[in-house]
Amino acid sequence: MEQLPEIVDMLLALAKRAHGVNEVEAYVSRNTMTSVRVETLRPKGRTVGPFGQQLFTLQNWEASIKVVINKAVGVFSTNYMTRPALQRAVDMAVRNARAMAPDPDFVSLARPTGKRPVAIAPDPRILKGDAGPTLVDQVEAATALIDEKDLDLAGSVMAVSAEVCMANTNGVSIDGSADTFTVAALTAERVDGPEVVSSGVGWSSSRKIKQLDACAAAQDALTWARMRPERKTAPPGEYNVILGPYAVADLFDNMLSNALSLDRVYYGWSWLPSDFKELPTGKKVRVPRMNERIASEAVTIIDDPTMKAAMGSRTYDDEGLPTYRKVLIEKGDLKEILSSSYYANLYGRESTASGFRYGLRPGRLASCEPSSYPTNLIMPAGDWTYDELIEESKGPTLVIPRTWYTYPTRYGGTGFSSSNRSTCFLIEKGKAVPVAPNAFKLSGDIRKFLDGVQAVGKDVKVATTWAASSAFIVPHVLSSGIRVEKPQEQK
Amino acid sequence: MASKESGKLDIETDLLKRAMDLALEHGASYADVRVETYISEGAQAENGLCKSVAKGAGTSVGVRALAGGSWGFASMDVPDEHGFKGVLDDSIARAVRHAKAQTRFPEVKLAKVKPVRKHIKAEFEREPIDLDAKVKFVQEVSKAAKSMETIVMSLAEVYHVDSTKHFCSTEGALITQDFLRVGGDILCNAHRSGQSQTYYKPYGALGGWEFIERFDIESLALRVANMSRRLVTEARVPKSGLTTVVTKPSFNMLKVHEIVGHPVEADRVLGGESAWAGRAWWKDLQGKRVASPLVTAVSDARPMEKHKGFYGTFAFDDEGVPAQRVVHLQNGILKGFLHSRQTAYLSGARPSGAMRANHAGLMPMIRMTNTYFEPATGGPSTLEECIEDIKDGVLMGHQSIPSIDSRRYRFQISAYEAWEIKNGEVGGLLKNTAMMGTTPEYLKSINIVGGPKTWELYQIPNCGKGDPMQIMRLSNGGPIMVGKACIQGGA
Repeated sequence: MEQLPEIVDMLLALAKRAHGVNEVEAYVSRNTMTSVRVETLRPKGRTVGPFGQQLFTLQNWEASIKVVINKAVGVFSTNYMTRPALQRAVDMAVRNARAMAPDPDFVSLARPTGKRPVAIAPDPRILKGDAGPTLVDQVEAATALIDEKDLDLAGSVMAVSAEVCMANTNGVSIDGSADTFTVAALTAERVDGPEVVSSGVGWSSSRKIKQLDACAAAQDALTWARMRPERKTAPPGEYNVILGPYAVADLFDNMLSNALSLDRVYYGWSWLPSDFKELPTGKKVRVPRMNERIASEAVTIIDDPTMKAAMGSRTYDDEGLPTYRKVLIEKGDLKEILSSSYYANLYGRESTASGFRYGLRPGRLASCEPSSYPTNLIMPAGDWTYDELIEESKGPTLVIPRTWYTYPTRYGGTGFSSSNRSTCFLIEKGKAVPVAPNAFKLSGDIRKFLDGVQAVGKDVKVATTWAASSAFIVPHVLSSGIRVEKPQEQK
Repeated sequence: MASKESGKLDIETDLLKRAMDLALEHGASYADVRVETYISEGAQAENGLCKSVAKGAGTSVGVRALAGGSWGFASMDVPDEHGFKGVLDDSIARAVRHAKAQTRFPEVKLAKVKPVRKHIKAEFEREPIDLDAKVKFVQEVSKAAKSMETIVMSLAEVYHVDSTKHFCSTEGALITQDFLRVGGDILCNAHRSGQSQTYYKPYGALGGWEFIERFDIESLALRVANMSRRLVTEARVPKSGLTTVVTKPSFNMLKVHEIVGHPVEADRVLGGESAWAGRAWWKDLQGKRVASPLVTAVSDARPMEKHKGFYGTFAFDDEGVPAQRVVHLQNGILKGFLHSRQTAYLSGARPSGAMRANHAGLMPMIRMTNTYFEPATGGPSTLEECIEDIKDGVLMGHQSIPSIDSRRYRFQISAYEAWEIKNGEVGGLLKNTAMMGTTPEYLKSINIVGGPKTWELYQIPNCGKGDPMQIMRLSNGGPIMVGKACIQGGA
């Protein structure tokens, strides 16, 4: 097999030779995920495990060629890497471009921005695919922490590498960039027959396998799972909430980070306030109202791909642009919106270098077109300790460490529905009383939640959510206006 | 082995058999290999103009091995026809090595199945149209939708995927299955007086272009556009509260998916998915009443007339187990779960032919097939008959977004469209409407189940499960049903 830079060079050379081609982009990626899955199985009352049941390595490589002919963009992706296969890929991309009419919204492929890349060294062990034995050791050590018969532990401990090489005819290139990260995401639960009596979650993540600590993740998860909730549920009604970092990550992943994306504004799938305006090209599109207040003054949100140790960091986006730190919401005001070059060009803005090729297999995929994603989405720490947040909240208050399936009620809407996935806490007379997991449905509105943020905790944690491509570095947040719903019981 | 003009590789099955011998030589007690080779082609248009044409081709290998009692899995993409054997040998060596690395954990055992040797060809009447025709097709469809008043964005996509899956095991199974899949989607966004509504409808089938012709996509696009328009011009938000809820088959597809289909997956029942998709509240209730006597629900993957073209229809799953019918709820009594060979062994049950991966490069998991509510013999034949005695209620139409707790006990499912029911008649259109309930109370409240004439099956193109998340295609549906639940009006 050819190596990544040689494949990019070959694709570019072949495409440049094709008649009538104005611009070309060649992209190749190779991704490897090694993971151990740990789980407890309880058939017919027996306990089997917990055990590392699957150790697996997934490796994929893909190449993509994009050609522009008279503003029509043709694409072909393949995982065949021989010269004849690459020639065929180029021929097909040219054929595709010729099948289309010019796209009046297309301006150009990405152009150099003059920004300097912030290089972050990958972990050579993860790159070599040698992480397996360490991951198995970590799983074994984590499962050894289970000290009661009715406690279960499940989750994944994984290491991922993504190697990218690309170039376009406008002078943008990545000669070879590799990112690595590792994550231990573990859930611990106390079970009694079919009932989950108590539940908790723990995470450890880093860029290098040396810093991975699955035991710390398991310990966090087990701390909650060992609790004995005093309440099976909480009364229906409106509450103040103190969301823990994992719940904040879940809410931001599903209700905020995708809204802060220019392509979603364009398509009408973002709840951000916008107006229809005519662009210099004459096209009328939705334009977000920058500098408009969309949250309380306590809310600042930053996307920072340059953090040395954070799992979401990326040196380049998948259009070859060096990434950089940007403030998206500053003291409640909308300041920036994530974009890839296609939509940035259309709006006459500069790309935020947020065009990533994420898809249904681990890593960065040539077969997926770039779409805007955050990298490390950060809510900076506030001044409040956990106890002070509880003290500050007036009226009925719930502390919810982990939510689940926090999804909008409709695409582009602000309403959402969720559940308390973990043991949570009802504040009664200043005391946190544990409440069982899955005790109720939660409903809310992201605008009201952001407007209602009163205080932000001083300790941040790194979290990500199921299948998310971004990391969330967030603290506890106190807000209001979340309803506890108990369908059918509340007649 | 030869590389075909289409981009799919011809796989010599003798190589697969030799690879299985190699797995045994490496020390595997069991192994299987899946090879998937495909070519895809699609076009997407926006507001009447083709904006992207994408094609792809590739071949992937996935090897699963048991050695020392644990699973090891390794997958790789195939770089070219000459590299296939090398990828196969590397994957086998790595999968067995991974399995052996976990010998300290409890042993995985599999229920017995009879090894089968068979080649199942794809059934279709008409080849997919060529790329130029696809471009023309999506342009016309999206142009028709855009022509409707208030529509500011119309997207139309069409594609086909031609794939072949090979399965070979150390037990002697050798199965080749060819698939041709056609499909696409339509999305319209309507805007008036500061209000936006999006309506989305996917379509597709296992088969040839004859399905696309039968679907009459241009009419479908006009219906999608018209409903988006009506949602911004005439619909109102419903009053929240407990009421009589009538659900159409286009809503029941997501209802049966979330509250029956997922919780009958035996990996969830046994606790194996507790970190991700979650558990099942009815774990210990087999043989007990969990629903009204009118409710029967099954998964049935068998290729038969009523399942023709549906995504949950196939001959063998990814463990080589034949497709079959599994009864989950029979007249309200909880019966069988969907089993893999492993969960079947642990539970003393029979493998259900329900283990599928969305790609050869990923581990198979227990997935729904064609999972649906059965119609009631002698039940009402029309919507009018179903609602004639309802004084006050809500009719739920095309499903939108679910949010459900990790035990599948409390749920909310929203619909793109709903209608009020007054004095036995369908009334005004409702928007931003969700149905909220608790699974047992709702299922027990069902007092009318429509007859066979009200039964419909729909395609689900995007069921997420596992870590890394896999997106599976399957089919869900049922007849018209009437029960009690809470209605939520949202933002």
